[in-house]
Amino acid sequence: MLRDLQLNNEAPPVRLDRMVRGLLPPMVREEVAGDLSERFSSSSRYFGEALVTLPYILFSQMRRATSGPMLLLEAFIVFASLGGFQPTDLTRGPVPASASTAIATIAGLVALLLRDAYRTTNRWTVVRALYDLVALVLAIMASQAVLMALAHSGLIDSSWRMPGLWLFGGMVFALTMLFILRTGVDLVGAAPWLECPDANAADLCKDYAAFRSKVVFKNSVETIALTLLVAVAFWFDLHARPVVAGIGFTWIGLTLLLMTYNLTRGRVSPMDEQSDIGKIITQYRKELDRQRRAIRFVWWWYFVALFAGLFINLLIPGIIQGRYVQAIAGVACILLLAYSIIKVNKQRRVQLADKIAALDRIVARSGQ
Amino acid sequence: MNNGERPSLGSFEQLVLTSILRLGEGAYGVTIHAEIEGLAGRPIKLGAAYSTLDRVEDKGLVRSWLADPTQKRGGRSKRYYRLTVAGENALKESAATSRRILRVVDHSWG
Repeated sequence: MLRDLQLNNEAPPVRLDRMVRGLLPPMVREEVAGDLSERFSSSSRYFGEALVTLPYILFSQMRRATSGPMLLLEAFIVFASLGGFQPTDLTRGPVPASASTAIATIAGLVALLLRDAYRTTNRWTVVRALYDLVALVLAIMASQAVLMALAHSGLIDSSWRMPGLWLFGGMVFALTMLFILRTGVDLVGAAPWLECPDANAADLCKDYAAFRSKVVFKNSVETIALTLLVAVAFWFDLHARPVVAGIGFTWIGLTLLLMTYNLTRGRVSPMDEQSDIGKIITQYRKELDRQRRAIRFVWWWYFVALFAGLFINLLIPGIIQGRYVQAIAGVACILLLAYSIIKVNKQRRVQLADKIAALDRIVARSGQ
Repeated sequence: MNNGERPSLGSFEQLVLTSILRLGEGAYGVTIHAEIEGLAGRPIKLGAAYSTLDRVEDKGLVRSWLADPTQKRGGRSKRYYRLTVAGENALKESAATSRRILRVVDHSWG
């Protein structure tokens, strides 16, 4: 079948080649640009083939970089932070808040997906997370600028655009949560050297130190995020109905307890580098296990307020006022949110479990 | 591939794995795509081959590596593919299923 393959020795024009390379995601740029250039027969065909190939590659890279539950969780964070779930009686103008927020959320998520597709590393680094968030902000601002222009020219109602203060406040909240989500993915990192037969105590201590500093960073970011959540919840509770305020202040009290735990006992204890490999692995394993439990709990805690908001703003009013579509939407959102948290937590627990299994294999090898 | 589950192959995945098997040491983007078109007997988008290659790699059915760049292709590397043991098993299983289907079809329609 390969006899039909006509390969051409001609090369695409330099400027066209440069443009095509610029469109290709960095993770596959080298091989795909090479393949396209190998199939070159004419400039128009080369460019056409590059354009047809690009969507497949982008979708594949997005699929590889992120997961459905993670994307869903990000959508919930952005939509809820920007006020998409606020009660209908608080909306301004003829356009419901959920509709105008949906546009900003979609714009932000598209930016995040494109950032994932055009990532330069598979690791979830701080720098990568910061660029992701800058892209999100720019996309949301661009969507609002387009809506503003359309409203100005009289094509749409001005209430499609989100109020500036609401947008700014919501974005601060969303960015904090997304930063935690995107930097907390890679807590242990890949350590293929652990599979080497000659993995020694010094290597293990170095890896443990990296894990320890990541946990310190994660805890610091979480403390800042929780402080922000507490401040917003405090302001909200001061203006809320007594029943809601009671629940809110209880949540604040428990969150402060969680922050205290994070700052005092959430740290990973230092390793005695003089210990033998058996003791090092035991301690490492114990700390990984403790972090696994902590991660599972914290992510549920973060979304307690959102769960409460879905009950209060969607589900209960929907049932009481006989708006069954709204009530069903409330149930669906609650189930989807719970599903995303379970799945994202599972992905992280699997990473930690893989690391624990790698440590167990070292113990098994050293016992042979 | 998680929890030791055997992945089932879609028809396009079967074509991709068969192409890699047939090409042996020379399996990279361009040759795999040409082989798939030959096996399928119809034009296939290059992008469809890439996305399926990514998917079967994520399932642990193939592994890939970038070769050193050569003077051809503007000095760009090729990404070569090879079947893993799991990929070979999945392809054998799917070929056995196809044979059983073929027997039934032959028997029913002569």
